[in-house]
Amino acid sequence: MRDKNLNSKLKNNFGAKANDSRIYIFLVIVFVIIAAIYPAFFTSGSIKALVSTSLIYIIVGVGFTYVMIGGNFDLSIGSIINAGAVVTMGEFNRFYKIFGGVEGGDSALIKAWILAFACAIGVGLLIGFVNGFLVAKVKVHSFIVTIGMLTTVAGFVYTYSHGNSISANTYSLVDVIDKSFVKIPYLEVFTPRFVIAIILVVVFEFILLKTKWGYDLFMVGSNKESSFFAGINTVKKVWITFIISGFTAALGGSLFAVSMNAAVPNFGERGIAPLMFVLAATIIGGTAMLGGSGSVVKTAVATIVIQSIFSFLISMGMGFDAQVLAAGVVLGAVVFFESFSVYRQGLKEGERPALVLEAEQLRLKK
Amino acid sequence: MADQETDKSQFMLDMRGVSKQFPGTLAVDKVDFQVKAGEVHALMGENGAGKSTLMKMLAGAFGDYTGDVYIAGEAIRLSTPNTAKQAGVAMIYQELTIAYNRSVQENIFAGNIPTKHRLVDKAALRRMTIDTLKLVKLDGKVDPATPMKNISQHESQLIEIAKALKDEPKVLVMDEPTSALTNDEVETMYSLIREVKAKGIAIVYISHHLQEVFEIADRVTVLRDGKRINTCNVKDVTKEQLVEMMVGEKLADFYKRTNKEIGDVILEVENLTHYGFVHGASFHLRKGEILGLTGLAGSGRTELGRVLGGIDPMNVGTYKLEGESIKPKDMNYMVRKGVAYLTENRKKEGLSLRLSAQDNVFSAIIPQLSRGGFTFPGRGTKTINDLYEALHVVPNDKKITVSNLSGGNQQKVLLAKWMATKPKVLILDEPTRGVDVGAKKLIHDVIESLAAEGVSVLLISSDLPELVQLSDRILVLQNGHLIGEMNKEDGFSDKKVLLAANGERSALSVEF
Repeated sequence: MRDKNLNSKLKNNFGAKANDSRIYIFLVIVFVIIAAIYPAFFTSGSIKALVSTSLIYIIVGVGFTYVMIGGNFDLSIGSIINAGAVVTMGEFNRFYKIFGGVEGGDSALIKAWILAFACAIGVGLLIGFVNGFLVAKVKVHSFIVTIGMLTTVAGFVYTYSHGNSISANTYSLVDVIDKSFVKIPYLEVFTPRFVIAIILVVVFEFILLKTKWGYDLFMVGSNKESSFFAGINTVKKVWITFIISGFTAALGGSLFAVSMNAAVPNFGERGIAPLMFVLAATIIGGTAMLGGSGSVVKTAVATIVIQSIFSFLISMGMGFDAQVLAAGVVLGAVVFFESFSVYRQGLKEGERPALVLEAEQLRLKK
Repeated sequence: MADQETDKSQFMLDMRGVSKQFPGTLAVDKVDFQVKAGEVHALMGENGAGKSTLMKMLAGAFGDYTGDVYIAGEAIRLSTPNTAKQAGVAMIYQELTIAYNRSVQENIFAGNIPTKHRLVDKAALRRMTIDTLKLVKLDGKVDPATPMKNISQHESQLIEIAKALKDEPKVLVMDEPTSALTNDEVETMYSLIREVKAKGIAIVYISHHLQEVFEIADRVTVLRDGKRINTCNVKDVTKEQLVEMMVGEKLADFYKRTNKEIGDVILEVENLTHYGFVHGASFHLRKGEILGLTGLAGSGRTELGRVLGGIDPMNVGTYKLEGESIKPKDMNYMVRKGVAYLTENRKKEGLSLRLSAQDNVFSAIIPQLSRGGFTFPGRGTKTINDLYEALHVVPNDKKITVSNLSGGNQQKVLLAKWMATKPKVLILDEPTRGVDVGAKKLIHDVIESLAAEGVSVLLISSDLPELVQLSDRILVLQNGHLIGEMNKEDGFSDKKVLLAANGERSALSVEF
């Protein structure tokens, strides 16, 4: 009897561990399948393209994961990305002109870019601040707040851009930001934009795993009430997660615009919205939908996995429809799995341990 | 004066004349409650006696109580949870406050995670956790890094106690600490409590279980209707005396009932089992009978009702309705078969608070009101008018939103909803919880007349007078098992029913 219990306990632990690192298992499975069907997928060039397309989602996913760990959703990231993009481009053009344009030389360029980034990030921080205020302080549900913000910021983006796409008047930065540091095949992914994303992921993962702030955030997301009674400032924690999300969404959009050398006010309105992509990656990456657990690194890995599936489908000559379908199926499966385990947990609520032992014996007898 | 001084220092916790007023009721009425250092002091009383209010007061949940509280001789105003904590009051709630997807160490040191050079000092956290676990002898058994969701309920309870003990409290309040434990685990809990006691901590032990009180407590205070009835040494008192203090001097069964016909067996279950909740229940219910069901909190009363109503699964057993063997597969099916279950949780499971009273009543009889896929509420007008007349729902406006009704009238609407289905068997789970006296009387009358009309009623209630007054027979549940039955011929009383629920075999007419 005792041995049996121990066995089932071990099995449970193994199952839990496997579920914790499900994204790495998923990554291996996806790569093995792709390698078996379409080995050409793993050329240096397509890996670089794959990573490069994923970067925006990886960056935005950092803040999104933080918000979700804290027990909320930030649905406004789609608009913040666009705001970051158009503001970067628009403000660059404005400042570049002020600093004298081509006559201003390199210093005008650098100054204009720095100010443009600062403006874009400022906008993101501000939006995050307002989201956080309404959710954490005023205690409005995060769905309502951030959906409202999604539309409001979309309105701002259209007004700012007059509904047009904005291009920078010079190609100065696009040549730099996606240019690899190393010229060795497969290491060509090391572009400045990639390095920025990696630094963000590592720093924010470090905060989660190594600092008291991170521990407290997990606690808040896991059980807000007991955190409050333990003396953790839950309002401040939740508020800050939204500010971080505003920051990473604006930065992601900003860098994306620079690498395209253009910003459109409606990126993601056709096809798979960035919000859906990041949401899928975060959930598949193992962040609990109700908060309290999660990892920035795993979100990033999940982003690569999903993007690999998309690229693979394109390589196989399948269209956009198949991508949307694949994303839907994967997300649906994971959400189902998560909800089902919550449901199973609910069935056991109120069980009497003494009777559970007895029930086991009754079942054995049968 | 000197007398009072010694008085004060004698008690670790000293509450003098404390009261707490809620709108409409005085939940705690000038209660004196004293606990010595190194004493286990049980706090007992029926539901609504004021135990939980008194406990919340200690936890600092109310800023507006009256009276004085002294802890270790010092006057203290327990206005917030933090002041209570700083004054040395530690609470262990029945509903554990656990962050399930975090580890043991994170739960114990939530908000107080040790750091070194601004980073979490994992070694220190681990060491401190092991030290804390030593307090409850779990060191070496539980790894500090295990997620709480993989920890058994028993160990979670111990961890919760360890968490409370690490702050070196002066007063430790335990609310039903054994409610989720097996017998062996209860023994471990007792020896732990004895150790804590030896450290000179004052322990307030809240429990429904008489047995436990006699085993672990030194003194006991009984509350009833917000007042302190008595405080005495456990060894100077008997079970019967305690029960009498709890239920009070009630008049003998003054209720006279017209002799009614009790017919043939309509419902019969054998070995009904829902694993982990109710095991091997066998009984029958006759036509026109009111069958009471008693048991302590957590004995499986509600769970048995839910299986019978088709809400929770019946894993094993046979279920016969009017001689026909059926499988209670879901609630809808059971309602069509003529078995209705009225939930104990009116607001969450019973009513749609934002819909009208009429829509709520009709929600259970939509098929009867429908023809060819369309619903005609007009078809139900007579039904609802009759029900409203029988139940005197006030106001008589059937379109009024249910949330605007008083508790008593909400309960009447809920009862009307299930009466509208014209059930043969009506399972009533706490039919008068949280309703006023008038509504209670009326609901009792309605239950009686339903039975007189031949409806069989299974009455689940923690209200002893109600159970005693209405039931023809009473079934007794203990720890998920039916232990016996009490017959009206042998005489019912609150005291007997409460003793039976506590497993006192002599109070039973038939032992199972």
